[in-house]
Amino acid sequence: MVDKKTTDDDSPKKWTWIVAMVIVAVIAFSAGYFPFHSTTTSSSSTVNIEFYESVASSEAAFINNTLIPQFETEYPGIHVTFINVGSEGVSKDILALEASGHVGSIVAGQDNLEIGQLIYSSSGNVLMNLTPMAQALMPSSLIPAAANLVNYEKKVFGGVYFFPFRGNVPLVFYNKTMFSNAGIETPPGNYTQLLQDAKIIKSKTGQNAIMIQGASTNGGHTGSSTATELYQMMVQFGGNPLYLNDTGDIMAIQELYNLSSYFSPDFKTGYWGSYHGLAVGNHLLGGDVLFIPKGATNVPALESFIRFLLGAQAQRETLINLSWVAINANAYKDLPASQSVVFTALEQAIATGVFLRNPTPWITEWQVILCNDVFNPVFVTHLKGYSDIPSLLSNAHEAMYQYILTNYGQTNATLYQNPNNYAPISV
Amino acid sequence: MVNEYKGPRSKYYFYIGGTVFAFIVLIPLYILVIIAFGAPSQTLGAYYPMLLPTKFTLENLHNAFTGYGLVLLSAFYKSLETAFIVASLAVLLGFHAAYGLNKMPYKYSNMILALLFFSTMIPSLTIAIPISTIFIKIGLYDSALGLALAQELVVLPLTVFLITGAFEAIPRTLEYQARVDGATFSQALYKVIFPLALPGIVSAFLLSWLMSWDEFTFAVILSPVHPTLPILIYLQSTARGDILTGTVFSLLVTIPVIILTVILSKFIRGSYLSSGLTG
Amino acid sequence: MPKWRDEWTAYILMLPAIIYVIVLAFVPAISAVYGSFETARGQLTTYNYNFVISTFGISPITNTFIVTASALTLQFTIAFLAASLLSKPFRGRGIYSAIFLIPFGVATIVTGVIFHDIFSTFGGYANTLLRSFGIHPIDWTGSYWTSLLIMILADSWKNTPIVTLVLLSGMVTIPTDLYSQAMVDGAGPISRFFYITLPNMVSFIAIALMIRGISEFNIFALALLLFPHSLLTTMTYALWDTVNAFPADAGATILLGFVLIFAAMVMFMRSRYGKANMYGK
Repeated sequence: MVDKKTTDDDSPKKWTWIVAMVIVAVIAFSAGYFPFHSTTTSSSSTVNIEFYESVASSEAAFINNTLIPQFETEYPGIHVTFINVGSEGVSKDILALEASGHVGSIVAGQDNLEIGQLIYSSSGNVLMNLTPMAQALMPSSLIPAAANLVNYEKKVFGGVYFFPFRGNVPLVFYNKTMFSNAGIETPPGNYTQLLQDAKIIKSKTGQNAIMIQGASTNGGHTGSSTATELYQMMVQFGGNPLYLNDTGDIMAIQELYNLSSYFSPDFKTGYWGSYHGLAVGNHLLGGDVLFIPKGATNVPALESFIRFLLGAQAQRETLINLSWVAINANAYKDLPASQSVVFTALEQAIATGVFLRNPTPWITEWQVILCNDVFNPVFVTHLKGYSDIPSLLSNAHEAMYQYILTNYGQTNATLYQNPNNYAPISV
Repeated sequence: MVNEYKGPRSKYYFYIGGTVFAFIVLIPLYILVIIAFGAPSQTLGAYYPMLLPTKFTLENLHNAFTGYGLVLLSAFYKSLETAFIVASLAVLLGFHAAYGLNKMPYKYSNMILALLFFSTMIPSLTIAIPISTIFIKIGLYDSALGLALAQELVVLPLTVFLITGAFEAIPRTLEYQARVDGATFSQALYKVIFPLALPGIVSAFLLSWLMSWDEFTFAVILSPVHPTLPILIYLQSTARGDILTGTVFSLLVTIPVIILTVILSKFIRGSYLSSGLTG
Repeated sequence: MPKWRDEWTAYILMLPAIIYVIVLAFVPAISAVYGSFETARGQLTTYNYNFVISTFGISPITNTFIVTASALTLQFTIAFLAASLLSKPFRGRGIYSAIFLIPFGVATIVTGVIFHDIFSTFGGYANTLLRSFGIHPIDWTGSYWTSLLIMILADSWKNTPIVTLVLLSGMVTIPTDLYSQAMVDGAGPISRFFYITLPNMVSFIAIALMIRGISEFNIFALALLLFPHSLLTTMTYALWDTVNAFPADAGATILLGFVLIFAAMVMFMRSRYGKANMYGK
């Protein structure tokens, strides 16, 4: 890399480098070419299908090593390749495939909030209409919330385009040792108790004990974690989160403000994996749904896989091993006692009323507005205080209205002005 | 008297300065190695990890390979394949483009080089989706070739620039002489110019190779089924992954890099980068 | 018909590369700029820009400027030092220059992972080092300036080699007689730097600025991993919605605009302060 003023006189040495590199390259290449050149091996009798989802790596290992072999034993003519995509990757990949016209044999799982992006995409609804097969594929023993999601689909989209696959019930995790050291024996059951407990812990240990996913839209991890937290809280206070400034919404943010005096300093970089929301009264069931993109091939094989995934066996496997919230009620029979703490909580959550998030096309902008116009000024930069909360939310609502008006027309904007519209789907 | 304006002390200045710099440069790599080979309790698991860990273990590598064995190897070859295609294409297109630019009047070649540079200014997120759609349409989804063609975009401007710079060092009369002596156009180009520009071409090849090995944005969209190594690392560095495995993968990715960079340092000249637009 | 001139062959050989770049880079870029003025319902409105500014404010813009300026300053300072070190021959120079180049090849993701591990508040090596000196550990990700520092350090570690490379090639073109003469006249190292080194290196600085500056404005992967504040790039990423990508187009166009202004400034600086072409075409 250093320049010499005279002409290069070590060319023979350079030639040896080049020759050496070429030899190494040829060897490395040919050694790897045949085993690893990316082609899907297929004999004429096996059908190859692909399953796109976004899960943790440990969950991916389970799917590959346990779940898929179970399926392939049951259906010997079908081979499943599991593709673990980063979050938000599923929508991007499916849309790219759709735009190209080469969809392939694909079944995919996607968060039920993000599914809106595929229904309202710029190419229109890219999900295959599954109404004809719905009866045959869905278990009759769906938990009530999941059944309601299907009813919602039929009403709003005119058909069944996706099946509920698994639920995400947020649970609270608390440090039992810290609590008993502070003299608190039972965990808080509601926000008031949480606030009291936080005060006690602070006075006894000097630590701020509450963690939330506060990364917001700052520096990546996108705003979906923070926005999801806030969504849950607003529902728990009886508000319509998408409306942004109804009574429940305002109360939720104000309560969060009170709790924020006890936020752990890490909260500004907190996201998935640190805190999962507070289970109070009604619980939020978010979850993943399964769908087939329009134009997919080998549909019967895809249907078999869906039937398997929704069936009691698979749902039970994932419930026990991954703590995924099963949507098939039969999965909950005779659960092993050793894991009953989590399962009791889950069963309780499902038995009491649950809400589902409403898939809308403008969910990204909602998240951005909520995070930047409300969460950041109040909780991150502290430029605004408690008394500003109602006006901030009102401005956010106005910004959302303008967005819908400009992009989706007056009709939709007028719909938005009624807090009963775009409300969470209730049981 | 003024010839030796640096006294005998100056030699030590070089070595001290050089060693300090080298130390700073190598520290992050050192950290990579100790996390990969150290017991987690002393590295990632500790509140204040030890700067000189005492426990050496192969567990981390073992876990990473057994957990991901086949996926890791196939990602390695995917990255390898893609990088080679990118580098070869870059040199192929770049060599000829640089030759053409060399022949042009300075005004125009400057403009075209600037045009090439503008293309690097565009945020990759914006163009990644439309480009990927094009490639998928022609059937190149998830193939190394498709990904290579997309990465070419990132790599070409610098490659052309580099080889153009290498051409500057070749005396123009040489080619003229060869033509006078009866060489045809292609003979002059490939038998006379090419060997002289070889160091620059090799630099461009290695540079493109390294840039492709590193590339991430296009790989995420164009190669999800059989991912490349950077994608694997990214998946492991997010909350849903295991950072220890991510670190092991990082080490794996970095080893060829170190070897190739050392080789690159023997070929590359700063003048290649700076001649293209001097003046 | 005129005789086929060699130049024409040369020009044709140039075409594949040029066409490739134009089709794959410019066409989507221009459609993104157009898109920034569209909404899902119509064309030619500045709504997207209003939305972006009213939601994010100008902090992404100021953050981007701060990041770019700090990164370039640090990289050029270190590069000048390293280049002056390597510009004079000494034994073992080849080894040092090989070592100095290594960070350039290390993947950005890997760099991010390593620096994250070093500067974690709990579990990071930086705090271990501070503690061993009896200094109180710092909460690196906590404040704006420390998180900025981490990202700048990571970015500079990876990218200073290329700046060093360019500056070095410039330094060796300066005749040593100039320095000798200056020393005789009593000039110290600092004035030698400002009155001899810098003016002779304007072209080289300009090239390095172009190469690095554009990349700094576009810094993304490291920002995603290490910097918990909005930049124009991460803002565009947050806005990107598969249903309606137009607000994201607005973010990208703003970024593109600043990059173009920066490039124009660099070219202006070069033409104003640079010397005439030494190769004399």
